[in-house]
Amino acid sequence: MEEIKKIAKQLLSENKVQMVIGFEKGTANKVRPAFFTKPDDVEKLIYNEACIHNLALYLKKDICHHVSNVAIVANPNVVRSIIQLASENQVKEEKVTIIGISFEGKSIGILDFKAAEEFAKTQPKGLKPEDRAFIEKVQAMPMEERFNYWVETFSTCVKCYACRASCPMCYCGKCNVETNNPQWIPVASHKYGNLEWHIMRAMHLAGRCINCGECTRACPVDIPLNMLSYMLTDFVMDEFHAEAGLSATYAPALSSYTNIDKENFIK
Amino acid sequence: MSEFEPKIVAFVCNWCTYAGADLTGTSRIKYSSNVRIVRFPCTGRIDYMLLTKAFAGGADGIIVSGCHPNDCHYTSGNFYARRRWMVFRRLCDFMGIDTRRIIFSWVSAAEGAKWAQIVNSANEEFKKLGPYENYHKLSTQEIFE
Repeated sequence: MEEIKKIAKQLLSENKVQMVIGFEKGTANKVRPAFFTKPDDVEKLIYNEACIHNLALYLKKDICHHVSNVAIVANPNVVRSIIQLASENQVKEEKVTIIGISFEGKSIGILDFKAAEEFAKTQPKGLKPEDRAFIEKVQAMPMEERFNYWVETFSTCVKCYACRASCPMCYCGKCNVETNNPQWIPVASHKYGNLEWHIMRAMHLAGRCINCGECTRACPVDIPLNMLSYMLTDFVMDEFHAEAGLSATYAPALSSYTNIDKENFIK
Repeated sequence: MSEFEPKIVAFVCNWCTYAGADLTGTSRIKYSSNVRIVRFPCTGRIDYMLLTKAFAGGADGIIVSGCHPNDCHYTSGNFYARRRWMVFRRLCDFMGIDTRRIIFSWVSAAEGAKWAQIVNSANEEFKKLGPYENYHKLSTQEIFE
């Protein structure tokens, strides 16, 4: 933690960055994201096992619009998010300084994009066993039961869009769900509207999701909606051998193609 | 009681399948009239939300069709569409949406007979499956509950 503070302080005092995004102590033993602009403020910066939020999402929020250079305390998920954002031309290397944190919570110094890519590649890949077990459990249900399961699961959704707000990949200025002419998705949070919202969300993240699980963590009613994205990530990896967040020159799976994609389902 | 007649929505591309369906007509090949054809510039334009909208609006089955690979008027629209369909089919399967009710095909402008055959066989299949009540119930009744 001291090392992260030292790096952050140095960056701010040497005027290399205008803002450092990190964590500070919140209420009731919790941590909260914090934005440091003065070297003296950095004393408040902390990093511990409770710091699991994906800070990369702030790179696309208003708070980063008026600053030209930002440093960000980046655990492996944040590093992958930044690389994925870079591959979609959403962040520029010269504007973001990555203060890398290893999987064990140790500082590994400042990473440029090349080092960040290398670092991301060393992280554990694929689905966690418990996630895979969940997906297989759902997949084993008969079709009707599966449909009812998801409809019932989504019926508790209150359409607060916390999943969207917490996702670093959901950066569109205007989301499809707010389009009302034509209206793609009903505004009210009834079962039908909820189902369509989650279909759309999962499809828009297919091949782009980096499996950080922020959406489910942010969900106030604990819907396992990350499972849809995880399942698609797994599918995209199997079918197209594409994985998000590992290369800044990655072409998202659904914005590219090969001549040999499977078409056994096409008549 | 009369036999159940499924409502079928066909999303087709302007350059191949729409022209193919036109050929079916000018060749005087008879085919099932349950199908409602919606014309798009390219299969790459066919958003998956349109498919869910069709189900919500009362469709019992969907046909999505466009140019054969390498024949796209815009060179690569159907390649992008093919990937999107693969992923969408997987998602539908995982969420329990009936993938038997969504039929994908390639029909070129010269394949009038193939179009008639696809619509007829789809019609037979959707007849067997019956109305898609699961989704219709969701989109009509649930709203007013």
